[in-house]
Amino acid sequence: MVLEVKKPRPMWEILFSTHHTDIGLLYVYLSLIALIIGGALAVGIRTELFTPGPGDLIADSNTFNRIFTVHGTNMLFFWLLPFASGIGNYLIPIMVRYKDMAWPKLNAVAFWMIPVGMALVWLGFADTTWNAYPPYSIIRAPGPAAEMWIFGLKIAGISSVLGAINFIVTILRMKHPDLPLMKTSLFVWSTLVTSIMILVAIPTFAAALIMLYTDRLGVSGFFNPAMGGDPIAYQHLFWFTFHPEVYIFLIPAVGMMYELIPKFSRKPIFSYQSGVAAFVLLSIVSFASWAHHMYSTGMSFTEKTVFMVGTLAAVPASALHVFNWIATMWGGRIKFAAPMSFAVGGLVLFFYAGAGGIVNTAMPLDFLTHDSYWVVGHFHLFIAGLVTMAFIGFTHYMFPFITGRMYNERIAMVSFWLIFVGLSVIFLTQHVLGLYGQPRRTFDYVPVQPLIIMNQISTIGAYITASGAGVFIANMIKSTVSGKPAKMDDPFAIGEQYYDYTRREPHH
Amino acid sequence: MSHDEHGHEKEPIILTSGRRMAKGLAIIGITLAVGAAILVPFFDDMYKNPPPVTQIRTERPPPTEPPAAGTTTIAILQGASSQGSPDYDPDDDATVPLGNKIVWDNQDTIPHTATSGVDNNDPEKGKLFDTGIIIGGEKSKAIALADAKEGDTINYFCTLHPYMTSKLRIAAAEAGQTGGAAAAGPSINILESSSVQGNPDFDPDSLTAKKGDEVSVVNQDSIPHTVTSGTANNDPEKGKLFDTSIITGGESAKISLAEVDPGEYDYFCIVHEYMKGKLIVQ
Repeated sequence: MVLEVKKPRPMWEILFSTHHTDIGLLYVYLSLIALIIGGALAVGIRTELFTPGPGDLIADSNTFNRIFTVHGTNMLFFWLLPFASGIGNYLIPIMVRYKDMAWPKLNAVAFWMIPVGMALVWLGFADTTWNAYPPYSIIRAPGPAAEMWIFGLKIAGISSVLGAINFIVTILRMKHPDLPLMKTSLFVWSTLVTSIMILVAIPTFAAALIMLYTDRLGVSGFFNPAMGGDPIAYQHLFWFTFHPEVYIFLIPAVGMMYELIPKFSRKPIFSYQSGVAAFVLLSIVSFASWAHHMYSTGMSFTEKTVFMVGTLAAVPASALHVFNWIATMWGGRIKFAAPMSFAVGGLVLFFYAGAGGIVNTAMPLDFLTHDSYWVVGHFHLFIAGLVTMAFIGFTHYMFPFITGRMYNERIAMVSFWLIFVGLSVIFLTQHVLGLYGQPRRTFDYVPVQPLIIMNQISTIGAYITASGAGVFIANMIKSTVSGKPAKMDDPFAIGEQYYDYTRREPHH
Repeated sequence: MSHDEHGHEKEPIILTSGRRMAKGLAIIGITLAVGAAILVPFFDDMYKNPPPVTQIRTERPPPTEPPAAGTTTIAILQGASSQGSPDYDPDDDATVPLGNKIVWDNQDTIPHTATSGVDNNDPEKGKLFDTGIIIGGEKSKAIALADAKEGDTINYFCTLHPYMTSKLRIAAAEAGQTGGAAAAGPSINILESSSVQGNPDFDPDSLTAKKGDEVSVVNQDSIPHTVTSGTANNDPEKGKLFDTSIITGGESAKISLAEVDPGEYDYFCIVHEYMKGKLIVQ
């Protein structure tokens, strides 16, 4: 599994290939590009908030709204989802010992829909926020930006569904007959569970997007109060898809950490069965918690209680994973190479994120944190702290297998520390910022000393993270060209192997 | 060429060259540059059109029903039940032309009343008028103030929320538009789409007025109409007594009854002969 499989091929042959490693590579490239340009927007947002008052960097609040909308949409749908699909494309066929994905052409189609959706989102630069709540999104949000956003997400959603079907069929039907499902890697399980969740969750939002679009055209009024519609209905449809989607972002990262932690701890996974059980449990309870995003919409006490309990049910499932990782590391001879460092760093931030999540879940406390920077800090600790850290760690891990060369370990550790410290500084501070009353999605804030100081700490954290990301990208590019050729049997000099990823084409 | 344990050819590892990496980065860079070349010049264009549903709403503002002539409407505002919130609109400065009827429009979701008097202990409460309970979103009956004189000030309040107090002043009969009142005096409305034969046309179809009155005619339709005395266009007497001549859609006109003797008179629209009405002069 190296980039140039048999002989050097012209670039277009890779671009239009249907081979799973080529498509996996394209997914990874695309998502890393999305990470960089989306990250640039985040740095812009933090720079604007360095001092109170408009015009540090961004002239007006409309532009600011457009920037954080594209930042959010881009990071969720063009960084997290494609990266997980990319690694899945790379590893799933190898892990289930099949020559390719079940439908290679469908796989290529699913990939090439993503740049189209991405172009629509980026060129439109909508200002609806990534959740596009009506009534603003249907009666005020200017077009064609909002239409482009709707169609961009529509296309990305179809791509996800096609990819998910492909993964499910590959795992369940193309698996080598000698390989029982309970002997496959936990990464296979994570991809299987994620794909099934995508199939269940996405159609709801797909329908909501069409309703949003016809509402904008004025031919329907599903969410338009002036026409007898209900804006809250959209929030239910939206979160029915996107609360499970939170776990769709999370579970592949968890699967990747299950690859990294045993390998670099030189120990087998503490409990494979509990990992599988936690994946399945998490996928089920993720559908029982969507309305915890909507406690302040005037639900009855009973509804709120049901969703609070539903949300808390995710805690044991997540804790099973964390304990599994800790128990795996316990007593192991841990090698803190870059992939392992990122995984452990992610684990630490996952713990903080989960602790903050309990506060949000508790419905009385949620009324204090709702719509404040606390929430921004909380979900970024998940998707930047855990998921992005795990993804970047896994990029380091895959690097020798993809390029045949080794990245520079010392520089990789520099980027790890910059990113880990930077993310902690940004997002832990933002929790406190929220408790001091700074609302989220704000272009300006009250010029009082605590808010100014904490915003500036947060912005400095963003610069630290950005420099770490710069070091990471530079390391990847430089090492692809001139890194030391890797020892392909054991590039990280671990000495003991629990999985054999190099076996190919077992059917004959 | 070496072989793995299955006897397959082992894949040779071919490493990327700097030139090839540069080519890849160039593809990414050019794609992003093309995107930026589209994005930057058109940044504002992508964000200038309001959604069509907004256009529909601005082009056709919801038709507001003009209050019937001779009626003053006082709104009970939403949220009026919270003490301290604005309650009646217009509040203490409401003026009602003498002879007008008053309608309270409860825009709140909660029942209210408008009852004469200052509070529930007032022995005179409800003597002059009492709307009874007006359910949220509904209007009261038209209340006539039988014994009121010009210049009277009448206190009233809500029996359910006694802190909702207000007063109204009786103004001169001709005062017209003050205090949210519609035009005083008799008037004829030409209803919307009355040009279609069979639709309701004049409102009221039979109007009673006094000699010397001035009857205002409001064309609520979008099409020109007239109010012309007579029965049809071939009536030799048509337009002799009164004639508004053409009133374009949305406009209004006046008929003077100074020269018209008491009696019953037919009138019609010269544009649409089938639109007929009756004017009774006393």
